[in-house]
Amino acid sequence: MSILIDKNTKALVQGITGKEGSRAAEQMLAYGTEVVAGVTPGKGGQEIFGKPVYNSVQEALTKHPEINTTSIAVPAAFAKNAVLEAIEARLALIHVLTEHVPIFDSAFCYAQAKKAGVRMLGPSSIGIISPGKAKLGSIGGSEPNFSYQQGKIGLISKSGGMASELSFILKKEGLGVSTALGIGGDVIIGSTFSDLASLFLDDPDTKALVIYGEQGGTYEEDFAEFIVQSKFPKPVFAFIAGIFAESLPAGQALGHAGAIIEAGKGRRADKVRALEKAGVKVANVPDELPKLIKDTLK
Amino acid sequence: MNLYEFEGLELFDKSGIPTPKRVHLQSSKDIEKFAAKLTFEGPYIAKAQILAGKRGKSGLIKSWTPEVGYLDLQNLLKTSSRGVLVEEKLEAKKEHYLSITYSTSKRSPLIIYSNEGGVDVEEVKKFEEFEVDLTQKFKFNELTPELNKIVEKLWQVFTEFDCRLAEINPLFETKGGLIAVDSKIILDEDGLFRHEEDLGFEQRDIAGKKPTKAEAAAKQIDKEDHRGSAGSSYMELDGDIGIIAAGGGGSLVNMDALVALGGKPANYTEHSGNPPAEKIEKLTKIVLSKQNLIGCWLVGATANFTDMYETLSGFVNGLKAIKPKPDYPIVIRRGGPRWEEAKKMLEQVKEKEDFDLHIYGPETPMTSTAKIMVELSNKYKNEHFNR
Repeated sequence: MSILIDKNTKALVQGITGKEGSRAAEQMLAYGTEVVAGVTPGKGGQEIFGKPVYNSVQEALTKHPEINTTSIAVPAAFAKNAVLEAIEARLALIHVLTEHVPIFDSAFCYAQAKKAGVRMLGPSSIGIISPGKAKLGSIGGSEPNFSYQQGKIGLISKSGGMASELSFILKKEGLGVSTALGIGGDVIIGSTFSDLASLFLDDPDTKALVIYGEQGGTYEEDFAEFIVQSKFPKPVFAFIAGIFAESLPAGQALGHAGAIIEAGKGRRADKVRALEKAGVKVANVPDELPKLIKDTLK
Repeated sequence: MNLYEFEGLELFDKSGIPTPKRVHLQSSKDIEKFAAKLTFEGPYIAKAQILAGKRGKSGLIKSWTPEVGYLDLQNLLKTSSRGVLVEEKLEAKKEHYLSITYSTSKRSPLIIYSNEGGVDVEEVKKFEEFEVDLTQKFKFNELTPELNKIVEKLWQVFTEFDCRLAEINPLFETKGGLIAVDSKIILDEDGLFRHEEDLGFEQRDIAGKKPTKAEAAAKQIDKEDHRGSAGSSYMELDGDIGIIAAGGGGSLVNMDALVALGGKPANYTEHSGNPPAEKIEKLTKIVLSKQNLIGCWLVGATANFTDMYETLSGFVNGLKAIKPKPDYPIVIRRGGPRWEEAKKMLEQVKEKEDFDLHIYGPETPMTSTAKIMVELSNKYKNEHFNR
């Protein structure tokens, strides 16, 4: 099994005629994902890769009510409206590939998605791949099989590049992934480590989780707390970057407010400590992960 | 983008948050003029405009009277990044703390208040936090009517100008009402495009210093050509290993590995999104024109869609242009689309041009090439510099 996407995924691509959107759509189709249609305001009536383009999400849904997922790759200035359109249409899964979305827009969209009971992934999410079944977004590029093979590990990464690198490291040692996701490294994101771990919990084919985290914010610490609170039964492995970034003279705390709300959180060392305390095995370099996993799962 | 106190106070003025009477003196001449003809009544307090906190403790905030002359102000100006702010000195019955920022745990804006504001506020244990529900129209009446009004106005600053942080500390309670005596504003870089007209703040990096020549040149690469990114993140550092790293996450991971092994980066830079060869060529020239390098590390994860032949052709073109010809070790570790072609090309360059190239593909863990880089560059350093 897998989480969020599989053979039943019927995808819409918002921004399908743009550079990022058309690249993602082309790759998704090549991987066998069912891309039903695309949306680009003002370009309705055109076709791309043999798929119809509509002016709005609503219009696409009227013609293709089977659409259940959307991948959004529009310029940052239009991301908020694109997400709100998808929320209004009650699409269950809204993937946001767009980078550099203003934080307020992300927070606003997250609040609306939560209220509407739909899931947002990203912004700045490279995508989702359930190897052998489907992929959403640009994850794995044009040769996903190079890095991603089917297996029993759920992979959640703040970085798109590191998702592929970690999966490749696992693959070299004969390990594969059930589903891999980029969650983005933004301040406010639609789906966190904890949100996705709850989904992996119910997936019988996922035997362990691997996460890639970075300095900043509290999503890793929140995840550690989630593991403890929920008595999360599957083994979790992590790699956390941040030694260098924190050594830069430019590294500056977010004023007093940062010190107040992130007291004792946010730095790499804080994250590693919290995760280890929750029983997570933290690798010093990414290449240690396969051995850590094999030793635990054997 | 971190704002200086005087810039933050300007935003408060725009939104109707009361601020002290003040004048921003940007030069010696400004100071002489002000001292000669005081434009408002004292007593005064003078504040250096720098981005770091704890200015009071560092002697960068001083009481000032015209009687002591303007030399004090001139001295303060020398220690300041952006002039001196001279304000009316106010008497506070009480100092409050008020800020709005984003909480990642709650994934929403958070209003933070304490009635014990002032210096060392982070040591205060008594804070009240109020989560903002963005699905509702903003309304705030959790504190006193006077404070609520300030919260509403600060919310206006926070949302209207795309802030990551809008902080008033201290918020003075005076006979004449509440007055914001200091500001700390951090703008969301990704929201700046919405404010090109209303906010004309001078460019700066996070630490508030102006970019170096090389940093400015690197930024220019992305300004002139929007295909992919290469250069915007370039930062000069004190070390001796030239870095050309790829990908946001991968770059951080590799730098962590290098620093952990004692390697000293001469710079930081990451590129991504399939930049054309010309952009990588320009970036390579900037990275390798630094003096006294003992190595160069071009490193990245297995790319999702960046064309390796394109990237590495750009690198080779840049490398060939460097005078004197680099004889230090160059370690390359990449993978992704057209890697095999790129590798063949690099091997030919190595043979024909006699560069000390060490070429690794995805079969070699990227972080293990950090060790190779550190060992080779140390060897080079011992042979060339430690006679």
